[in-house]
Amino acid sequence: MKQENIRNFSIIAHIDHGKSTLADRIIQMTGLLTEREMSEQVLDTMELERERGITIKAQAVRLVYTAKDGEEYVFNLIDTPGHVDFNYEVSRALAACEGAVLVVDAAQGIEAQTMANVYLALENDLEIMPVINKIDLPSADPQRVIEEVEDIIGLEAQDAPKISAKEGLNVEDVLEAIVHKIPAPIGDSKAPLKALIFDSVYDPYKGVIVFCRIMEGTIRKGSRIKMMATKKEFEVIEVGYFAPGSFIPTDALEAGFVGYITASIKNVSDTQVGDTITEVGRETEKALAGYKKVNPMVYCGIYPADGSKYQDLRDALDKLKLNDAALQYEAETSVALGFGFRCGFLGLLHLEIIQERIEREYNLDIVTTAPSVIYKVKKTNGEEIALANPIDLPEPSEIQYMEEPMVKAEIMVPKEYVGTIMDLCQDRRGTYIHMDYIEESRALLTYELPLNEIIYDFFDALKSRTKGYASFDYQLIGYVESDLVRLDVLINKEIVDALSFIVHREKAYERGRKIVEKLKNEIPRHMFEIPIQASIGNKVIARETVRAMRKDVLAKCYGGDISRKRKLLEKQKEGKKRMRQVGSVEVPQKAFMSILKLDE
Amino acid sequence: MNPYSLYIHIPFCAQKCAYCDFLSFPTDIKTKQNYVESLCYEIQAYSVRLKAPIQTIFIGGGTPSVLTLAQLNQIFETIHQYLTVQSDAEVSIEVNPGTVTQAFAKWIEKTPINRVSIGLQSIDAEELKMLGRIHNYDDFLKTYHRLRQANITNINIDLMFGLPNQTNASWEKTLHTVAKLSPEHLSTYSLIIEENTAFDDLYTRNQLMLPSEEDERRMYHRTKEILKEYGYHRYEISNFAKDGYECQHNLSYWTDKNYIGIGLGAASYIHGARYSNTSDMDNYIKHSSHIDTIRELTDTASKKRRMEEQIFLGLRLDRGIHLESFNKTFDDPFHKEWKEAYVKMLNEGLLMVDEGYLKLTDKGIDVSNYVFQEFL
Repeated sequence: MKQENIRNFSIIAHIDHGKSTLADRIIQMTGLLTEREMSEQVLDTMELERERGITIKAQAVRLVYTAKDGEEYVFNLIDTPGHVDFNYEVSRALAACEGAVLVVDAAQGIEAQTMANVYLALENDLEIMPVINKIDLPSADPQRVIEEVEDIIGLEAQDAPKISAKEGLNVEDVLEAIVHKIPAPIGDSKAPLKALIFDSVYDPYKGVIVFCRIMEGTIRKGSRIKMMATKKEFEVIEVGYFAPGSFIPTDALEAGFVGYITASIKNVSDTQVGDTITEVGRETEKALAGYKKVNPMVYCGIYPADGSKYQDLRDALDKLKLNDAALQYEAETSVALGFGFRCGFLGLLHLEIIQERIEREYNLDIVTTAPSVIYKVKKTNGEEIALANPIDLPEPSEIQYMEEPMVKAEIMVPKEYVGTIMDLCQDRRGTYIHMDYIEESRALLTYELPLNEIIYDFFDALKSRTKGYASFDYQLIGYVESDLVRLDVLINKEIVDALSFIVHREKAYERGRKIVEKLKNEIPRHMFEIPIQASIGNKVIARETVRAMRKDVLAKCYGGDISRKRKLLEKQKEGKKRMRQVGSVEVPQKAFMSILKLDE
Repeated sequence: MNPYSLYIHIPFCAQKCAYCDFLSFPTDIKTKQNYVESLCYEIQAYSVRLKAPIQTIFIGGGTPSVLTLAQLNQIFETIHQYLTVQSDAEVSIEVNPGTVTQAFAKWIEKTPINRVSIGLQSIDAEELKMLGRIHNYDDFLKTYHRLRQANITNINIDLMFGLPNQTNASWEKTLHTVAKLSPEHLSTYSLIIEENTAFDDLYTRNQLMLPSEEDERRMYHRTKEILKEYGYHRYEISNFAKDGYECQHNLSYWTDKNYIGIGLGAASYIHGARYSNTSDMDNYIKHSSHIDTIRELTDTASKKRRMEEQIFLGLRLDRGIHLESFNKTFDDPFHKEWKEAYVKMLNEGLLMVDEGYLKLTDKGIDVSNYVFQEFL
């Protein structure tokens, strides 16, 4: 295959604008799968992805298309996640491409993540090719959206394909446009090897399967390769490319190609996504720029529900980390929860996804603690610490001041909800920056918000207040000094470390009150009265009481039906097993999670 | 050969009560007749298997007295034709005050029935109405005296407390009034809101004003004190009797005795295994002569299960569990696998040991489920 007949591209879009549907349609049209074989959304392979209708992991597939000019083209389509939390994954995928197909919904037009994705593509020097999707919708207004794309993004869009991926309408136009608009890769296949690792998965038989884009040179079966960052060397066992849902081995991958290699790599940490692969003895001079290191923004503790599953949890995290470089974790212990991990995430969705993947793919029950951001603490002795776990906060007397991370948030919202959303931002300690009207009916609000105000339930609050019409994106802009305190929760007079969190002083009372209320309903009654208190230092700011159990008796054994009675007792016992012992109090695992969602 | 108890279930009633989740419903004449015949087939089928004598018989429901006298006769005749009943057997039947006629009372005198249980529940008209009962206190009195005239010398009265809108005063009035009649036995049940009942619906919609738990427990503990004045002793969580009138049939449930349940949904306990009959009426009527077709095994015999059952059944009795024989039978679990739970329950004041018997304290009775599940 000639290099000029290769097209490496991604599809980018705001969530729900039809990216995966278009990907499926392209796969189907290029004849790789028959209609019958085609399960919906081929690229979203994770169960979780299909369920949530979002793409979490980048996926790659190689397609062959015979264009109208009679030539055969190889398309390497690299799917990307749509959510703001996964921008990092998007830029990984984009670095392996020459172009990006930008899907815009013909009814909704440009949304916050449309723009975020465009910026990412531009950063990677990609050719951006707009496509107007969902023209079959009654509310579609393709011409208006084309103008929006030209006005707001500054892309030529008059000849953008107007399609319905769902109905299969005009998708041929997209394929032709890819051939004509997206540049072929360049790169000398005779030069020393230089390949970018953009993803990897772990296979129990083959070891790590490395997904890479060959920038220069050629990689073959039997090549001795070296990872430039980790300095590890391996012999290539297999090279190949991606068919939908499977790997097809081949002899070599040349410059411009996208594919995979295996090399009996057992240790997950030997292959870092973003690293450059070169050939031993004929090394390329300079490694690729790679990706900028992403720093987690949100932290929380993850503990196995069953303490004996600690090692299993570690294994699960190791495997997940393999193709999710943004996930970080280190061991920690909690008085209430035992041995577990403090984990770092890109955002709350990322956290939720990891949590669900651990539970589903690794079949582990886990308990997560309240998420926290990284605070900076300047101590009176001049020392500065980055605080990821509220429990590590020094004594108030040792603290000179604290800083919290701020984000710039862009919220796109229909005009009738502008007031509501401004109230919400105000309530979350936001600072109004400005507002633009994208068109008559929609506004783009810009706010500066403390990150700790949006990590819990801001997105849910936004959606519920706008009937789902608002979209939202944010980026970290730095740290500011802030009046922060640690709120502790005491159950039966004992501090429960897993429930402590940092909060702005002004918000402490309200949060404290909500938490004790919530816990009161979650903690079952015991033989004794249980006070639940929220406190700052030694000062109790809210209190509720779980009253003592007075009655738990079955009056009658119906007609000798003892099996039924046993079942009732067993059910009761089962519920008790899933509890955590905090002092003399049994706390259901649900209680630890309930404090995550206080905005109900 | 260990004697058996026999339970016969009549799943019919004139009207479903608001709190009842038991297998019982109003029905037509034809179904009743078919059902009675099927009961007789099932009894007959046991004749081959059951060599041991019957020690107690209990005809319960539902409301057995909604059957015709001819139907009831048919059942008794079948029992006596196919099974061996001890001459001193306790034979009980449940009746509702509204369903006992003069003829019924006359009939009962000629049957082997020597114990009658009357579902009074309350003497308060409002409370009865709330429960969905169709009788009033005068109906009950008539029934009670008719049965006495028919020489029934062992009468039980069912009462309920913790009812919607019930006060301590109204409960105590019910107790005093009924105890003055001097029945031999009293069952006092705390109202439990069961799933899929009318009360459950009301309760979830917050339309049921139940007494507070404190009041409800006060009613419970006052019951023992008041009934003591009238010569009753409590021998099980919900049961009181004059000396010598403890219900032998119910005791068999709590003391690891064999029993056979005949009829729709009835439970049996045979040599350590538990069975339950089908709850499907058509299925039952069609197949009742094939015991193994209509019943399913719900719990297999095992030492561990029997040991656990002895806790949650034996501890229902006021006298409790005889520690020495329990330890001997089950290899000393209170010093082994149950040691921790045992010590905890003693320390929390929920269990106590009294003259070689392990029993629930008054506080322990209130939270007995909490105690029992420690030993599962």
